[in-house]
Formats: sequence, C-alpha cells, structure tokens
Amino acid sequence: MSESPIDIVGQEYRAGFVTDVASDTLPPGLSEAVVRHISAKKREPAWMADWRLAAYGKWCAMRPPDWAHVRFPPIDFQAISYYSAPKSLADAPASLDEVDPELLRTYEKLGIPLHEREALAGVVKAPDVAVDAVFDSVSIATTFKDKLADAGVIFCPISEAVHSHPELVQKYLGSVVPQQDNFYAALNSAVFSDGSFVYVPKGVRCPMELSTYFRINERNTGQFERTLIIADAGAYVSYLEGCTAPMRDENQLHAAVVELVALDNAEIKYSTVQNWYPGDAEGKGGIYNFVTKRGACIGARSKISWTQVETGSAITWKYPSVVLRGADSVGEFHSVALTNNYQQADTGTKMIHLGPGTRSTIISKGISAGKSQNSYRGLVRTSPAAKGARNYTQCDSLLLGDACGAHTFPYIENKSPTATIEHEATTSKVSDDQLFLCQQRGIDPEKAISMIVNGFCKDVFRKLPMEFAVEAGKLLEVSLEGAVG
Amino acid sequence: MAALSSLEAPPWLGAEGLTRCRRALGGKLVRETWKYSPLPKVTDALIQTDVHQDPPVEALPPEAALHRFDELDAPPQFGIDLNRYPLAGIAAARAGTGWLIKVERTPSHPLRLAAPSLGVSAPVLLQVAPGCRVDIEQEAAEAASEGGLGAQVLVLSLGPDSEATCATAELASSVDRWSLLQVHLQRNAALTLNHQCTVGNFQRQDLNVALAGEGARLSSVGAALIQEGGRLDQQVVIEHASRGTVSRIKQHNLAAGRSRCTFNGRIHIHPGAAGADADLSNRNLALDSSAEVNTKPELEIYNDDVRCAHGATVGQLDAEVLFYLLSRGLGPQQAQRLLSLGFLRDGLAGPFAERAATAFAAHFMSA
Amino acid sequence: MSLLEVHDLHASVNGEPILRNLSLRVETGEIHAIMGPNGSGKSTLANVLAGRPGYEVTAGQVSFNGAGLTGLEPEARAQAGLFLAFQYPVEIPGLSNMEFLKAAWDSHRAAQGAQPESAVSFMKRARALAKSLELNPEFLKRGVNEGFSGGEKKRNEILQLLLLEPKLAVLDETDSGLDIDALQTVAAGINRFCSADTGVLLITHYQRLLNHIVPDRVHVLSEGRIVASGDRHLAEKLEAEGYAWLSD
Repeated sequence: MSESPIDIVGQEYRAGFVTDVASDTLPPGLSEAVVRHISAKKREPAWMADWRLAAYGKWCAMRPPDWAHVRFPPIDFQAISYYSAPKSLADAPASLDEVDPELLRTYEKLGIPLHEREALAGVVKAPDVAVDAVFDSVSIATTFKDKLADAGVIFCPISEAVHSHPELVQKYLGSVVPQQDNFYAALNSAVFSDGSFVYVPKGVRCPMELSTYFRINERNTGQFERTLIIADAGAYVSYLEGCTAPMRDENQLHAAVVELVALDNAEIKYSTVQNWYPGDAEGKGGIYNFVTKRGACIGARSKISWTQVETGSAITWKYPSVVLRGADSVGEFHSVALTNNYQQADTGTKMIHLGPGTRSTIISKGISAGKSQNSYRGLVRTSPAAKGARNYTQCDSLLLGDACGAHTFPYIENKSPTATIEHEATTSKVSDDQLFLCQQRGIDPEKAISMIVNGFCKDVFRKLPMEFAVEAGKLLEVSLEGAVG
Repeated sequence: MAALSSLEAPPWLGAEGLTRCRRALGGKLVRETWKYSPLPKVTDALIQTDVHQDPPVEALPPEAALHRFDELDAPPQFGIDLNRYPLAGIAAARAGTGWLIKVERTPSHPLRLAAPSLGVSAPVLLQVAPGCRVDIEQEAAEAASEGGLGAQVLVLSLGPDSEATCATAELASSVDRWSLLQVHLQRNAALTLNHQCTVGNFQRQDLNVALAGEGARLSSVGAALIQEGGRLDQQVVIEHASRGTVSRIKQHNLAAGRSRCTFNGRIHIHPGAAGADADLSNRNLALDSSAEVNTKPELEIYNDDVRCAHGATVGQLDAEVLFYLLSRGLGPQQAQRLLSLGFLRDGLAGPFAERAATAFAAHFMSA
Repeated sequence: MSLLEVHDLHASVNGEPILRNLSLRVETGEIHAIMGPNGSGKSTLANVLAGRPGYEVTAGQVSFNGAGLTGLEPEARAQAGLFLAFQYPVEIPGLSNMEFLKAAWDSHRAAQGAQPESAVSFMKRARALAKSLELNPEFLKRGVNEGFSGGEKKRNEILQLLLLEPKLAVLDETDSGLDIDALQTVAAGINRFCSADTGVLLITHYQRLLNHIVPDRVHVLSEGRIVASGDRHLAEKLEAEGYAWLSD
C-alpha cells in the first residue's frame, strides 16, 4: 500500500560515542604467533595455549559460511586486530575504586539502570544484580563476589577461571561448541579475549540475576567473547547480557561463543538485549555479529531457555541452540528481532532432540522495517532415540513498509516416529485500519506503531526478567521513533 | 552408453541452454544440499533410459492442436529456469524434441495426457488460450517392470482469465520417477492441482508455479503414501509476482515402513505483489519406527501488504482422536488404519480421489 | 445387580488426585445427574468410566453390569455398552462420519458375535436418525465432526448414542454451548434413549438441561466426592442458591 503512512526513518543512535581510553592493541593480523601472544599476554597455562593453537589450526582450513540470507563484502581477517586492552587496566585494578571513571561515565551515558551503575561503582546498598562488565576485551569489574561466594557460585572472568578453576574450564570449554563447529567458533576458540565464567554448584539457586554488559570500543578490533556457564545438578541461574556500541564507520566483527551446560534437574535462563550499532540510515558502518550460542541439556529434566531481543548490528548471524540429551529435558527459544534501514538479520535456533521425552518451544517474532532483511532460520531435529519428543514452533513476522523483507526458513528433520513437531508461521503488517482506529482514539501514529509492535512481541517480553522487559520495550520504542511520516 | 558430454542440444533448447544445465549439474547447488536426493543418480538414469517418441495425448479433442517442436517454424519458449531445473534441459536434450499442445477453445472433455511409467518423455508445453477452461488428467500406468526411471516435464501456460485443473495419479509405482510441473499463470488465471501417489521406489517431484499476472490463483491439494523402501522428495516453489495473487497448498504425506519423505515448500512474494495471499500446509504422519520425515516450509517475502501463513507438522496419530474411536468400540489397529486413511484422504480431491482412496485402503488392508 | 456401581473410587489425572472416595450406584431405568462447580471432578469421573488414558484409578472399584471395569481397554468398555458423549467431540478430517459410525457399530456387533449389519440398512437407520436430530443427512458424508458447529457436534454425539444402543450413557456437559433449540433437540434424543433397560449419567454444570430431562437422582460433586444427593429439587435449589451453601 503506497499510501501507507508508515515510513521508517532511522533513529539516531543514542549510544553513539567513543570513550577515550588509551588502549594496548596488537597490530592487525592473525598467525600462530598472534595466538601465542594473546595467550602469553594472559599468562595462560600451556594447556590453554595448546587449545587455542589447535583451534587456530582448524580455523586455517575452514571457510566462512555462505548459506545465510545476508550479503556483505568479504572480511579481511588479516586486517583485524585480535587483542586490545584498555591501558589503565593493563595493570589490573585492585578494587572498584580503581575503575577508570571514564568507564563509569560511559555506563551512565548508555542509560544503564541506576542500580546497576551503583553496583558497578560498588555502592553499599547493593542491588541484586551482579555485573561482570566487559570493556573491549578485558573484564574490568566484578561485583557481589562475596554474596555469590557465600552461595558457592563462581562468577568471574573466564581468563581468571582458567587459573582458578582449570579443572572446570578444561572439562567444559568446547564441550558444547567444538572448536571446529563453524568458522567463527574456530576463530573465537583461537583468539577469544575474555568473557564470563559461571559455575553454580549442586542444588544451589543462584541468589541473584547475573548480568554482563558488553561494549565494543576499539576501532577495527574484533571482539571475541567467550562465555561458559555450568549449572550443576539441581542448580538454577539466570544470566542477563546486554550490549551497546559506539558509532563509527568501519564494520566491526564480533564473534562470540557462549556455552551453557545443564546437568540433572538444572535450569539456565539466558537473556540477551542486543543493541549494537546497526549502521547509519544509508547502511554504513555497524557491527557484524556472528555469534555461536549453544546450550547442552546433559542431565535428565534439565532446562535451558534462551530469550533474546535483537535490535542492533548491521548483520546478525546467530542461532542460540539447545542440545537436548538428558531424558525429559526442555529447551526454549524466545526471540524478538527488529531490523531497520539496511540491517540484515539471519537468526533463529536449533533444537536437537536426542533424549527421550525431550521438549522444545520456539517463539520467534521478526519485525522488518526500512530496507532491512529479517530471516528466521530454525532447525528442529529428532534422533531415533528421542521417543515422544515434542516441539512447537511459532514464527511470526511483521513488516513495516514495502521495501523490507521477512523470511522464514524452518528445517524439520525427524527420525523419531513417536515425535510430534508443529511449526506455524504467519506474516502480517500494521494495517491502515489499525492505525486509523488508534488515531481516531487520539493516539498518534508513532505511539500506535510502538504499541502494536510491543503487543506483537509481548509473548517474548514476558519471558524476560523484569528489568530487561522494561528495557526491551523502551528499546523497540526508540528503534521505531520517527517510524511514521 | 550415453554420457552427459555427448548429448546434443536440439535447436529450441540451444547449445547454450544445454551448457548451462551441464554447468548447473556439475557445480554446487545450494538448494540441493538439504536432505534431497543427489542429482547425479537421476542424471545418470536420465541419460541411460529410453526415450518415448509417442504423442503425449491419448485422444486429442478437436478444440486443441498438437505440434512437434521440430515441425514448428519458430520453436516456442519453454520458460524453464535451467539453472534451477537442469534435469529438464537434460531430459529435453535426450528427447530431442518436445510437444506443443494449444487449447484454443474450451474442450468438452478432459484432456488426458499419456503418462508412460518408464523412460524419458519428450517435454510437453500446454498453452491455454485466454478465457478457456481445460481439465487435464494424467494417470501413470502400472510399470511393466521393476526398476528404471520415468521422467517427465510438463509446462502449463495459462492465458488471461483461463482456468485449468490438473489431476495426476501415480498409484502403482514400482519404478523411480522424476517429474517437473512448471506453471505460468497470467492475469486472473486459475489452476487447481490434485496430485496423489504411492511411492514404492524413488520419486522426485518438482513443482514451480509462477503467479505472474494480477489476480492469478493456485489451489493445490496432494497426498502421498510412502511405502516400505520408498523415498519421496517434493520440491515446491510458488512465486507471487503480481498484485492480488492467491495460493493455497495442502500436502499430506504418510511415511509407512522404512521410508524417507522430504518436503520443501517455498513461497516467494516478490516486491510489488501487494495483496498477495499465500497459505501452505504440509502435514506428515510417520507410522514406522524407521521412517524419516523432513520438511522445510519457507517464506521469502519482499512486500508488506501480504497475508502469508505456513504450517508443517510431523507426528503420529493424535491420542485424543484415537481415544474417541476406541470409546466407540473400535480396536486399536482398526482405529489406526481408519485414521491413517482419513489423514491421507484429507489430501485427496479431483477425479482420481476415489481411485487413490481405494489404493491407499488396499495398502492398509494388506499391511 | 446394578447397571453401574462405583465404590470408594479414587482417581488421579497425571499423578494429581482428583476423585476421592466417590461412591455411586445407577440402576437400569434411572437418570442420575451429576452437578458441581468447575474443577469438582465431574469430567474426570466421566473419563475414568470410559477409560481415557492418563486417568488412573488409584483405589476403589467400578463395576458395570456386574463386571469390573478397571483395567479394561476403552473399546472393550464401549462394546460392553458404556457410552461417553464427549464434552469436546474431536474432528477427524478425511474419515467420513458414515464410515466411522459403521465401523463402530460393526465392532459392537462383532463383540456380541453378530454379523455386520448390511450397509444399506445401516445407512437407512443413520439417515433417519440424523433427520430426527435435525442434522442434514449430507453431514454423514463429511469428515467426523469436521467443520461442524458446536451444536452439530453435540447432536452427532446423540446420534451415536442412539445408533450404538449402549446400556449406559455418560453425558459429559452435553448441554454446554447449545442454543435453546439445539438443547431441546438434544434433550429429546436423550429422552428417546432412556428406557427401562438403560441408564443415564448426566454430567452438567447448569440446571437448564434438567428442565427437559427429569432426573431420578441429583448428586453434587465437590472436590472429588459426592457431598449431597437428592431428588430433582436439589438441582433447583442449586440453580437458585449456587454451590456456596454446600461448603458452609
């Protein structure tokens, strides 16, 4: 409908600024020497260095995947710098007081909720959110260690865990996402900078939501986070990840790996609000987000749920998945992906049913605006042993404007005749009638679109922890500001 | 033994067209990489199997005219995307010719197309004049032998405001089959497809429908019973290229015995196809513990003014429904048989529906 | 010997106890109404009697016509003459009503060692019944309950009740979702079923069906057991005063 009043105009990126912190950065390029250098810089034990080198060897023989519904010029992996640490932190701060005040102001500018800023600043009346902040490649602040330690929960940078809990890292690192899983996972395994490590011991319910803010800062610096979360038998943990990035012109590569492991009766909730710089209205700049996120429900009756709100990045290539190995284990994926201007998203999930009685639910909401392309790609696979496995998938797309694309690519591979798999997809637009009704009732069109989009996403927002749900709603509103001409 | 390299292209295909097919078969085909039967197997069979030279119509109604391509002054355009369907080019080259059927007025009887079970048939291009209506029927004969390949290419071109039904039945399949049905619909043209088959060996069915003109409509209902050792690959592509185009697809597949069933249904809404309305449903039932069912319904949408939905299910008989039957006194085996048949029958329509129902029922009685 | 005898019945659904110590006796020629608030276990009772999978008898006995029911397959109970009219009749596209009815009837006959009724005579009977229930005979050709309205589905249940000639009819909320005309048709069908040789267990939330079908006994179910029994005036009292007085 050419007369449609919907005309998406990009909203200026709020988090677009560069923090001025001197950096210790490696020159661009990747080689065995660079991998050794990264490992040495982190004073890693030999087994860790060997692991990285093995990954590097595999990566050299691999090619970037080309099957996703995204287009971008080839990446020159030798033009990327693979290590960067803020200088003021190179000597490792002894306490939060030593955290660069510039960083704390950065969080303020990003609009990180006040109580979380306080948490970062180490204020005494501590809120129940622990933040392990990653500024570029080095974790700068970890709070609530005491409270978590009381519960026996380990929450620290993975670079620290390599030294303090080598047995856990050695056992689980790469156990869910093998080095050779895909091109970007191999790259990450070779050069990963830092990330979070969480271990929740048997029967422990983590006393607070764990939270990490990622931020990409250094020019031309790839960011290679590595996160490993292990919930031992009967444990529960909810992990929150949120991101913003400063504005710049060059595309930036981000290739994180997140691994989750749930043992018997354990539950892991992993929530993401991703708001990286998507590029400007002409499609210039923006982050390439090529992430491998996967959880393994190893134990019986274990549960892993991914909830994501993706509004940022120029290109998103991301499939948070669950391998359902334990009997009666449960996997969930709830996603909102909004693309605007020239953004491209190819995102979805994989639910691999291996054990009997395994269940999975996939709810995906895609919103396309501007000239963007938004694809859902999901795999549901059942093995012959997955007796009575069940999957339900619902995949809805909302299109705003006639220059965007919304695509659905579900792969259903069933070898278990007692499995039940249901997939449904619908596509709709914000109708002129809906808009007119709102207007007639006194609601301006911009607010109306925001309300309709929020309603469209409500099933997913409901799955987010409270503070994130509010943030996610705001984020969509911001992303859709100026959407009506 | 013939080889791919020694094939000669007839003038209406062109050496360039054949080269493209060879290249497409030799190169990496992205669309072929998911669960589909490998093309070389079909290619080899296509090159080695016999060619039919008989006319493709059992009895030509007076309202239609039949021409051999090589007898025409100017060969007609096939309109097949050879990059996507290179086998069509190979089949055409093997056949050496093709048939043009022109329906100029509405025939009083259905047009019955021949359907030899074995061998490569020359491609058929069937053109329906504006405003005409034609019913096409095609029923595959029982194979005289086990093994071998039957290959067939049918291109339907429907003029403005024309209407066609096309019913096909392959109910005694003991040979491998590959078929391509390509349809091009102009403004307000309407096509009803009914396809039912039993699959005992390997079957690959390509369907490509271009809703090219404004208001063009497609309705397709199909059912397949995949028997022990059967392997079915169905690839459906529906292109909504114009405003107000409508498609409805319903495909019910039942995998009995050790068998494999793959369905890929892609709905593609092009920019400018405002008001497009598409609905695709693929339901699968797996009865055997070693049956494998793969399905991939896809949507590719480049327009906001659309109504699109697809659904796919894989499952076994619904426990609630089964209990309903048991509570009426039916035994578990009989209930399962009736429900399996009911599931298949829900995908039956058109002139061969009854025959297909009988064939399916016979399967369950003997099983 | 009673037609239906339920003694100290305990039953669970998916491991959760629903029925607790429920006892009930229905004689031939009797109509019993089971009433009670939502969640009191009315539908559970119906499904336990019919042997729905997932409904587990944890203690107590149920006998039907003098024989134990517990452990019998659902189809064996049906063939023995126990009929459940579903609260939510299922749709089976592709399986025609006529085919379904004939198969059900044949199974009943076979259980009694009788030959199948001829298709012609059966169809005649089915058509006549459909007509009497104000169902278009065309519906016999359609899929079971496929695309039927709520009222048509319920009338189809009654049609099966009359066609299969059971001894005991368990009617689970058969009146729900019916307009007044359909309610009268359904009630007429049930009354037609009632005889000196049959019994009816009528499960309902509302009294309105009882304006058309006069029960011999009314039982009030609450939290899985019968908390009050009486004649039809009990139903009127419930209609006037609700269920709250029971818990006082």
